[in-house]
Formats: sequence, C-alpha cells, structure tokens
Amino acid sequence: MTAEAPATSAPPIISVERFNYAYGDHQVLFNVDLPIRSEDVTAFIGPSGCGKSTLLRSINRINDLVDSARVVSGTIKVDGVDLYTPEVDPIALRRQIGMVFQKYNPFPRSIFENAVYGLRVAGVKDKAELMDAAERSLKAAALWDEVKDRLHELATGLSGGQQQRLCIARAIALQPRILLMDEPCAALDPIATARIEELIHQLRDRYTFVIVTHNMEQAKRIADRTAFFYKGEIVEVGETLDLFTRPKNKLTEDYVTGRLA
Amino acid sequence: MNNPFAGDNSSIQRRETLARWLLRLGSYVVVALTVSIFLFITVKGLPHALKPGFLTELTSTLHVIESNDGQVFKTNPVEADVIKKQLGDNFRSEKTISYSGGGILGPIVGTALLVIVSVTVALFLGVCCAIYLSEYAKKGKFLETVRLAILNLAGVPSVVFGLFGLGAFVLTAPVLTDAPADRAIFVIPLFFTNLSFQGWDTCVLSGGFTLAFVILPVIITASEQCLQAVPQGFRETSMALGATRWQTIWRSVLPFATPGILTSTILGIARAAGETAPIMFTAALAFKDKLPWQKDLPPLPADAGMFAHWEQSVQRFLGVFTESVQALPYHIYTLAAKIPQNEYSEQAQYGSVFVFLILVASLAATSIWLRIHLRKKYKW
Repeated sequence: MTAEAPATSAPPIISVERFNYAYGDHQVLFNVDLPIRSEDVTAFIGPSGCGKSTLLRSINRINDLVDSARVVSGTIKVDGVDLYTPEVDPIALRRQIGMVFQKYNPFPRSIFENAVYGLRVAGVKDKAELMDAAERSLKAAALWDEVKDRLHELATGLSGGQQQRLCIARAIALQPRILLMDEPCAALDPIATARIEELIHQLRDRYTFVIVTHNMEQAKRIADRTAFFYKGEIVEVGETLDLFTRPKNKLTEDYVTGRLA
Repeated sequence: MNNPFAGDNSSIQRRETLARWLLRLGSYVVVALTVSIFLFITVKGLPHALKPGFLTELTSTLHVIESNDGQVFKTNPVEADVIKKQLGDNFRSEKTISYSGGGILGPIVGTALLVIVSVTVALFLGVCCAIYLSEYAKKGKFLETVRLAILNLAGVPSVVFGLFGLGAFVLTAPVLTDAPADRAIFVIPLFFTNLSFQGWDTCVLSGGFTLAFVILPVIITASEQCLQAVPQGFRETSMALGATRWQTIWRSVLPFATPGILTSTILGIARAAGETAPIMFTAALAFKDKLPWQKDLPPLPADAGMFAHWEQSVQRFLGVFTESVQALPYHIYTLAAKIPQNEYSEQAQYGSVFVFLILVASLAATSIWLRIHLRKKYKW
C-alpha cells in the first residue's frame, strides 16, 4: 500500500509496480508496490501465507512452474525491463537472478557437480573454466576450505549448514547480480544460521539480496530495509531499524511485538 | 491379593484374539500356497530339467522304443531308426510323443527375443509417456482422461491384445517393399520403393509389439510414480539455475527415477515372458526345428567382398526378428493341452515349467537386488 520513494536518486534495480498475482481464482498478492535498491539487503517478513514467498518467487519467475499461477496485473521490472513480457526468456532471466531455497537441497551428486550445475546447463564444457568457477564460488560461500579435498564426494554427505552454503555457492557460480533467498536458515541450527548471516554480510556489496524470513531477529541483524506483508499486501516498508522500533502502522507494530499471530 | 489389572475375559478380548488369528491364518495360507507351488513344480520338473541337453537342444519328437527283453529306449527320430535296425526281431513297440523330446532351447531363445523387443518398445513409449504426463502436461481434464485410458488398458484381457496384435501388426502394419503383396490394405508408392500396409506376418516383431502393449500400462504407471517421487525441490533448483525443462529432466529428475523405472521394467519383463494369449496369433509356433538365425541364405560367391559378407550378417541379424519362434509359455500350453497326455509329455511339460519358474524368479530377484543397490547410490 505505502511505497516509499527510494532515498537515493539511483533507480531501483528491482521495481514491483501495482503487482497482482493469483493461483487460479485465488488471488494472493494485491497491488504490491516495492522498489528494491541494488545496494540494500531487503527482508520480507510477515505471517505464513501472506504472499512474501510468492513475490520472491515471481522475481525470477520460478513460480511459472506452478500450474495455475498467473499475473493478474501489474509488473515487476529489473533494470527497467518488464519481466512478464514475451520478449523475456525465463531461462536467461534465471541465470542472472540466483535463488536459494528454504530446504537445503543439493543434488545427490558430487560437491563439484553441484557447484558447476548452472554453468553446465549453460553449456560450459571447458574443465579449467568449470574448476575455476567452482573454486571461486565455493570460496565466496566460505566453503572452500572445508571441501577442497573432497570435491568429488557426494554433496548429501555434508552437514546441513554446509549443504546450504553449497546451494549459495551454486547460485553465485553464475555470477548473478541478485540473490533471492527463501527462508535460507529455516532448516538450520543457530550456529549454521550465524554462518549464513555472516556470509550474507560478506557478500552484500557484490549482490543485491532479497530475503524472506520468519525470524524477525534475523531481519534486524541482516536487512537494511524490511517490508512487512499481511494478507497479500505490503503494509509497511522502510529502514529496518525504523520498522521495528517506530512502526508507522498498527498492524506492523502488533506483528513485530508478537501480538499478531 | 486383589489384582486390579487382571484381564477380564470379555467379548472385546475374545474378538481381539479371533481377529489376530484370522489375519495370521490368512498370511500363513498364502505362504503355504506359494511354497507348495514351488515344491510341486520342483519335485515334478527338476529331474527332467537336469537331463543333459534339456537347456541346449532344440525340441523334437520323442520316440520311445521297447524291446522284447524289456529294454526301453527314449530317443529322437534319427536315432530311433538306428535302434530299431539294431534290435531287429527283438523290437516290440514304438511310441512317438510330439514336442516332448530334445530340449527347450528354441522356446527359451524365442521368449528372450520376444522380451527384448517388447521391453525396448514398451520402455521407450512408456517412459516418454510417463515423462510427458509427469513433467509437461498441465493438470486437468485431459490428463485425467489419459490416466483413465492407461488404467483401462491394464484391465484389457490379454487375449484381446492377441487379437489386436493379429489385426494390427500381423495383417496391417506397414513394410517397405518393392513388391507389395496382394493382401496389402493399401500401398503408398514412394520414389524408390513402396510403403505397403500388408502386415509383418507372425514373427518376433509382431509378438514383441503386442506384448509391449500388454506391459505398457505397468511401465507407464510405475515410471510416473518414480518421477513423482523425485523431490520437487530438485526441479525448482535446477530451473532456478537457468536449466530448461528438458535439461532439468535429463540431469536432475530422470537419473533419480531410474532405479524405480528399472525395477518396474524387470517386473514387466516377467509379465511379458509369461503371457501366452498375446503371442498365440502373433509370434508363436508349436514347433520349429531351427533357431531364428539358422536360416538358409543364398551362398555368397567365392569372390564376395567384405561388404557382401557384412551385408549378409546384417540380413541374418534382422532376419531374426521376422521369424516366428517357439516360446516358453506357448510350449507349455502345447504340451499340456494340444497333445495326448502321457508320462513322457508330462515330464517335458513340468521340466519346462520348472525352467520357466526359475527364470521368472531370478528376474524378480534381480529387480530386488537392483533396487537395493541403486537406492543406496542415489539417496537424498
């Protein structure tokens, strides 16, 4: 509902405009307006079923896979290009917008094959190039030292936290500019969670992060800006500190203080 | 002392006991039946199956010759004449029992060929269909109709498939030929040859295609279930990394569904090997004195080049699939129902049944072993 103008004059990298989205006849997003700046880590918070994951999954059009999913009206633009026009190839789009899912889900293949999956499907065959990319992305995901001696072992043998960092490495191997994360720590213990958050801090200058989280403390720790979703609408969006300490909306206040289930 | 926890012998408890025993009894009966079938077949069939040559010789007519001094000779037609001559006046009687002599190499080879063709066809069509249904088709009326059709296909009696195979493959299927037969339904002239809808005759190909349709529902249904069992997360992750749908299927869905698809395929093989009705009109012969590749081809001239030899080998190989063959289930049917029964035909019959049972049981065992082995490899 309320969309703040970006503080800087630079145009937002992602711009959601009057976006309405539905599964069949069931509308889940209503008139969402949201500019996302490239230098920010943006968090989406809100109760289950509020539409925050749907919006995230609409940004790389992975929600196209859901049979009945459709855009009712409105647009999402990245660098000013409307993503939902026939000229946009979702495959090409997804190469430039990485995504990390809630349940860490490396393929039951080797660590190396997981890391270079995106490059392989993009047609890269050169061994040295693949090895370079694997090393670069695993280093960036702070996993290299732990796995460099067993790159060809099954990825499913890693710990949960390591598997999730491998998923991050896999996403950044394609050198996207935007990383979408759908509750990346929901299945992890606190120590593994802390490592992922640390990683986001290290990488925040290189990628635009958009993170869905159920954990409000996490949003406070990692996000510059936070958007609060409720029943398919954005109730409030602003600087994280402001949103949590001086919420403008009663609903937001109830939610961040735990009075809204 | 008063025990407050003593069971009262109420009707509830009696019913509990009754139910438990009834269920236990049912399970025991099933186990007992299975074991007794195996024992029965083994006792009756094993001695005959172990006879030298039973697995390596072609089927022939059994000649049983008795002499006046009480000797009994069981032999084949050629040796029968020799023995009769040797016996001279000592000869008392000779009985001939069709199809009961020699071995069952012909039926084993025939069944193997039929299985190879049917599984190749069914696997290709079935996996294509399963992938389309599971990965591409949108949920809706059409998909439900297709699923219903497949289920119905599974319920069609196998003799119906036999007649369908006769009509479709034996009599109608198209062949490329320079000289179309008169019985061709219609002929499409191509530039260099004709596409003639005159059927493939009774042969391995006709029988294999017919059997493929019998096992197709099993393979489609099982393959689709295996594809569905691959976590949705693999597909989403793969697509999110910029893979196309086909790349996703090829790299991240199919490999993990393969163990299950293979398992169901092997069970399909057992089914295809065991069917009699579908091959009765399409491929099977009661008797054949040659293996499918033992065909008389015109002798090559002495100066024939490598190419001619190569061409003839290919011809011989392809010829295998256009021959009609003996098959195990049809052989058993012939021995049990088409010839006069006596102890000799019974021996041949149980010997074949025993071999058949071992083949099917080992296929099932392979399937179980494969599943356990591959599951270990692909765990998620």
